[in-house]
Amino acid sequence: MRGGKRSGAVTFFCYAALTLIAIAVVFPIYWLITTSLKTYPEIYQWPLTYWPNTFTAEHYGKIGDMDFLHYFTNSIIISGGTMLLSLAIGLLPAWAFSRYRFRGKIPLLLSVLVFQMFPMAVFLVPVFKLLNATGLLNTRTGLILAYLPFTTPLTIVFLRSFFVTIPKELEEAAILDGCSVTQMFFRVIFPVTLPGIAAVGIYTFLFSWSELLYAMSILVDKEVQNIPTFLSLFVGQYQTRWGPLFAGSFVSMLPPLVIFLLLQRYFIAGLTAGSVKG
Amino acid sequence: MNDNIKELRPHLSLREIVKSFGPFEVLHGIDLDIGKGEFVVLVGPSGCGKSTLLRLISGLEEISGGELFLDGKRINDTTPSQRGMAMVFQSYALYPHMTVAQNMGFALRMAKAPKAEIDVRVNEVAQILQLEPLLERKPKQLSGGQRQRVAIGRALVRDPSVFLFDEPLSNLDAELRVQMRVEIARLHQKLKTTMIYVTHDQVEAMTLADRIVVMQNGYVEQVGTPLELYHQPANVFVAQFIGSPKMNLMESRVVEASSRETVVGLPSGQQITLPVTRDDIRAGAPVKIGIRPEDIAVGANGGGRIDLKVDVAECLGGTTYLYGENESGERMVVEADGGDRTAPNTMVPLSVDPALCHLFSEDGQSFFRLESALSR
Repeated sequence: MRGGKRSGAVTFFCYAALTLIAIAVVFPIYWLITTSLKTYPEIYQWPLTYWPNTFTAEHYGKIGDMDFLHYFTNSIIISGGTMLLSLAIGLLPAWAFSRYRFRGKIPLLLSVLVFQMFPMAVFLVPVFKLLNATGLLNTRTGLILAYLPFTTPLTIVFLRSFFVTIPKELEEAAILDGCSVTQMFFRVIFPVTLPGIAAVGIYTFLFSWSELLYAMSILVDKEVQNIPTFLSLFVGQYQTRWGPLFAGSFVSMLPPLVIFLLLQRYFIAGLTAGSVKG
Repeated sequence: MNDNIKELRPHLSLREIVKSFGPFEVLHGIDLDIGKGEFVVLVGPSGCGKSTLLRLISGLEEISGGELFLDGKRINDTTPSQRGMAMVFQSYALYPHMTVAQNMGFALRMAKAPKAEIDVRVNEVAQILQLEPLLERKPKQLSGGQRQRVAIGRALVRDPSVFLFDEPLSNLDAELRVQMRVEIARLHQKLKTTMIYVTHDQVEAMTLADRIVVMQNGYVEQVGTPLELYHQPANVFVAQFIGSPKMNLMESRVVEASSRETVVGLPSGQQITLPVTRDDIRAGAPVKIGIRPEDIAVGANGGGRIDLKVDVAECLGGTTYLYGENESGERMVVEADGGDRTAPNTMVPLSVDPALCHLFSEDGQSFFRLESALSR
């Protein structure tokens, strides 16, 4: 009986703690959605209302009138481009680090991570000057290239950890079956490592989707600006227009959410499989 | 087993094969001829170089020195896929994203064979190995034994001239291992293809092989048929590696040596005459007497006598193993009848037939036996 009571108390506290954590995680999203559906007076009203007295879609209409779809499309192009280029650049070095021995391998692998030790803001000025000198300032391509030094190293390191878990016998079987090294990689290794690739892809997509500092610094004209820059328009020096800001934020959450829902089984498998050896 | 081994011409020849990893030489001048259709087993403890030798034959590792010939043609520089060999790995190495049928047909697809031909060949092999109901499954949906059969099937579809097996049964449980061993033996009888099989399990070696190659530390200790290795081990290592439980060894000295026989003393002090000889041995030389547990009789039945103080008796039903110490304090094991109920701390008299005893010199090499146990 004593053990049962203690077990019950422990269970209660566990559930209570989990509930509090869940509330802390979910509440901001709940607040974001409900606020985006409130009228302006209700948003600024005191005391606060936790459920809209009157529902309105005016803020969604407002961001639609401000050509939100255009910024959305730019975000898709920039984030998609960052994801694909990071993977394209990082895939083969990651495999090489996992399979081959060569002089300077460890220092080279460590140097790949050097960028990760510094905040992105430290490199903003040199990156800005480089893009300006090459005529890539104020372009989507320029922003993608600016993101690559921050996404590619983690791509390499994470994928290397994943490749290490792939048994060497798989490659040897492919070689014996008549594959060249390239064929062996793309016909056998690449399909097997799709979970890890999907996980890294999601990470780079999400990183570039929500990044603000470089986006605001590099993208000047409306034609090339993306969602973070668009949303920053609603944050003024003296006032923040919460309604359209939250409406835009909610809509901008949807693509990463859809991607994650579609690829989540790869993401979970990729995270756990890549963490076995490193 | 193949009774015409001596008449086989070499299908595969290894000449002074050396393998080094950096400054470390792991294979030291291996010479071996393998006949067409022969089932050769490379056996030895972990780290002896047997898998490395197999990988050199397959082409997955580069040969550091020496030459490798297949049907008389030097293949040191031939790519693995062009050697006409197929390998079955210990971990199966099945492609997890492909179905069983796709796994089996992969090599033919890489060779750009027509789809119809691939389908015919895959179905033929699936029939042989009873894989037909599994063709559309992925490897993760198969049991260990099924995966192993698919791995064999994938090798079989390629119609290789040499099959290479790298400890294929190590990942299976004991019962499945026995079943698969029989299947591999049946496959060899049916196909009569040259097979080179690596294992650390001497039971697999004894039951499957036409000839066994016993290896240690990168050297070949002895090559012979299972019974040759059992009855005429070349040295202490082979004598103790082949046979389970392993051969008993007793320290002794030569009392008298002639060109036909050697007299040695047992731990009891009794002298026995063994039908073995060696040119360079003189009276007084230290030797080791070897006798297998199954060649010792419990009871004083004539022949040489040893008294064993039993401390453990393992009853396995059909057999009982008695473990203990002889008069010299040396550990010994004896195979007794299944009904034997010897209690611990009992002194048990043992009889040894001199004809079944082996003798090894101080350097571990076997004495020459004039009359082979094989010919009895």
